[in-house]
Amino acid sequence: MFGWKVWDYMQQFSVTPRGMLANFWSCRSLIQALIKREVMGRYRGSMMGVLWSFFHPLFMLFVYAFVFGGVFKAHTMVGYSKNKSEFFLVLFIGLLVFNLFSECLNRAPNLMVVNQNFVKKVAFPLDIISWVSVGAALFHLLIGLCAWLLFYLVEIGLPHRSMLLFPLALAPLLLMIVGISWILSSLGVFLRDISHLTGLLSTGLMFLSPVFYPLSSLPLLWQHILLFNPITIPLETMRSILFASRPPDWPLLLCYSACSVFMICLGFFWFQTLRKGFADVL
Amino acid sequence: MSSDIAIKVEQLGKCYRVYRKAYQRLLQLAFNGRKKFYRESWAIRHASFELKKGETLGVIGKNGSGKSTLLQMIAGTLAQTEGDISAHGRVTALLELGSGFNPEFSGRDNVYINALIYGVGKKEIAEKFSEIEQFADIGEYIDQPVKFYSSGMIMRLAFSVSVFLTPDILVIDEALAVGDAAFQFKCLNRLLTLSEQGCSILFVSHDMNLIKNFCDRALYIRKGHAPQLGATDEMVERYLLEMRETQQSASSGAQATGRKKETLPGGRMVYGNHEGRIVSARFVDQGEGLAVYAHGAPITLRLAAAFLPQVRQPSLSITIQDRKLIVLGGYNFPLQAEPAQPDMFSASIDVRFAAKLAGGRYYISLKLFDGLDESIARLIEKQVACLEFEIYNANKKFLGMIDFGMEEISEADVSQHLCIKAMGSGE
Repeated sequence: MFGWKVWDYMQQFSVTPRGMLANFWSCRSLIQALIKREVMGRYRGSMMGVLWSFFHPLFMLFVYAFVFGGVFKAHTMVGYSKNKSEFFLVLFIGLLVFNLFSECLNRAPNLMVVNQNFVKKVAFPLDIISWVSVGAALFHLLIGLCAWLLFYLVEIGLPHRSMLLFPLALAPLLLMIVGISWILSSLGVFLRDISHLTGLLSTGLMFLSPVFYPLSSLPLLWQHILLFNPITIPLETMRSILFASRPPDWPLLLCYSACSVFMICLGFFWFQTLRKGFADVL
Repeated sequence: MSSDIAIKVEQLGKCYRVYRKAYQRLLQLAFNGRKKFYRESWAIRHASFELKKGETLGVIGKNGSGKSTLLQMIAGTLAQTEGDISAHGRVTALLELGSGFNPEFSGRDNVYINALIYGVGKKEIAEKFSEIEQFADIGEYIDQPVKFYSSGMIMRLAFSVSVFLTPDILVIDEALAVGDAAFQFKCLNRLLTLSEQGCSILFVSHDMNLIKNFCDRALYIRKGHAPQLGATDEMVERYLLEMRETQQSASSGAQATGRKKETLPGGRMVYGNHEGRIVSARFVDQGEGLAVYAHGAPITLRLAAAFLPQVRQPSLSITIQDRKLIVLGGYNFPLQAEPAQPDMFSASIDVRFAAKLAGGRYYISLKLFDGLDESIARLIEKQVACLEFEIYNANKKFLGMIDFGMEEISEADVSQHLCIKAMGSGE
């Protein structure tokens, strides 16, 4: 008579992909507000504010560019043009994508622990916390991409208009990361060791991905192995789109997207199943 | 479920698994029920009740009896081990005020985020914001970061958010304990308005007056027992009885000499040493069962004690206590020892006082001392709240608990009084 709905209690958590989408849609304004808070909150009280997310990847870029470009002369390796500034830009994209991945990966195991209030004090759609974490990381990537574009304009010129396709390469990666984040954050509640593992893992994956070198510079066997790294395919696609050097491997990306969709569904199922126990342990 | 029921709870129970070591939790996962590595600890069990629409239900019980666990399950933050809950409407829980606030952000931002968390749309928040701001009454601090707030201000703001977003069901866990009297009053008024509008309220408090005045029914939770639902007065009575038992053992146990000697029939405990004991204590003019007196009627006690000859100056203190065992008054009587048995002295005493008290339940505690002054005397035996009586009082004109017999006097009486006083000081 009052249009009341029956309150969602624990036993009624949806584990289906449909429930995943419904949760995302019904909480979209909350997700938006939390991402905003997350992004602004990181630089609250600092004078430079959001500029930091601009400087941070830049600084990292200079360090890596010095080591790999200046010391190891990586830009002379096969697959790169002899142009040094293009090497910088290729490296920059690699770092941006990798930072997105590693940031989410490293934060995932502690997401529930950090947001204990949401777990214990209010009936909160906990699954959206992973969306928020990925969303905030995406924001930083976009800022970095602006910096990249600026460099590109100055050093090389107007980018090819195929650049506008870059969300196609990024979207499956984001889905993949959300799925991984769900699995890790639910495990992290019960096994605090996970957070140490992800630190090691992300360092390892950094060098086992084509961040510093082009995939084609590896022996064929290693190229195949590296395809299992979740960022390899999106990163390679991203580069081929942004530099318009060669056509992206669309079938491969499609394959990867299918894996991402599977991963995010699995992650949601996993998270919602373990979720009942969170409040008992935290 | 019929439409006038807001929450229905059936045989609800929560069991915590207590592991001695953290890794045992992992082992448990691996073995998955084939072997048990934990100890079960039931926080609450067999809770069944229905909360009607617009009804206010008080939840009372000692610390650790499972009140908060129950509320958390109803709020949907904790999964139950057994039983069912169903709720019709938006449940808003005030489990810990201000816990969802981010200290770095302004009060305004936090109100918006908090409201979104409660599942309220942006439009509704915008409509309600001025009301929230007005109720919280924190002035220009609303645009300051929450980290600069006093704890009272955080509480006010958090409370305002939750009560102005028109919840259908409100769950409050001791949230009203903070805040000054004026704000508490405001909160209660707001809650009354909500309840008139059809909001159901679930309410935990240790303030029995609040529970009595405010709640339609009460749920009394006792550790290890199924929660009982009943009339507020009756449930409060049971709770106070349990509290009294706990207080008895606590206050007696605090004494250095307070070894537990024995347990009398009816579960009453006696503390003290072996030098003597209170043999009997009863109301002279009353039979078995609860003693009942009209207001102002004389109450006569007959008390008897026995002690060893070495007790030099036996004395007996009698104190009248209210239902919370707060001492209202009393007296210390020296005892005249008479040899009774070969190595035992005994004494008895009759005491009378007028029951000039407000209606309600009272307790009498007895202490047997060696020494006249309670501050330097040695305790021999103590019986806390060993007698109880009830005052009924149809026509209560006096205020408070004790009737001082105040009366209006004439002008002549006043001058006579002054005259006597003047003569007294003149001599």
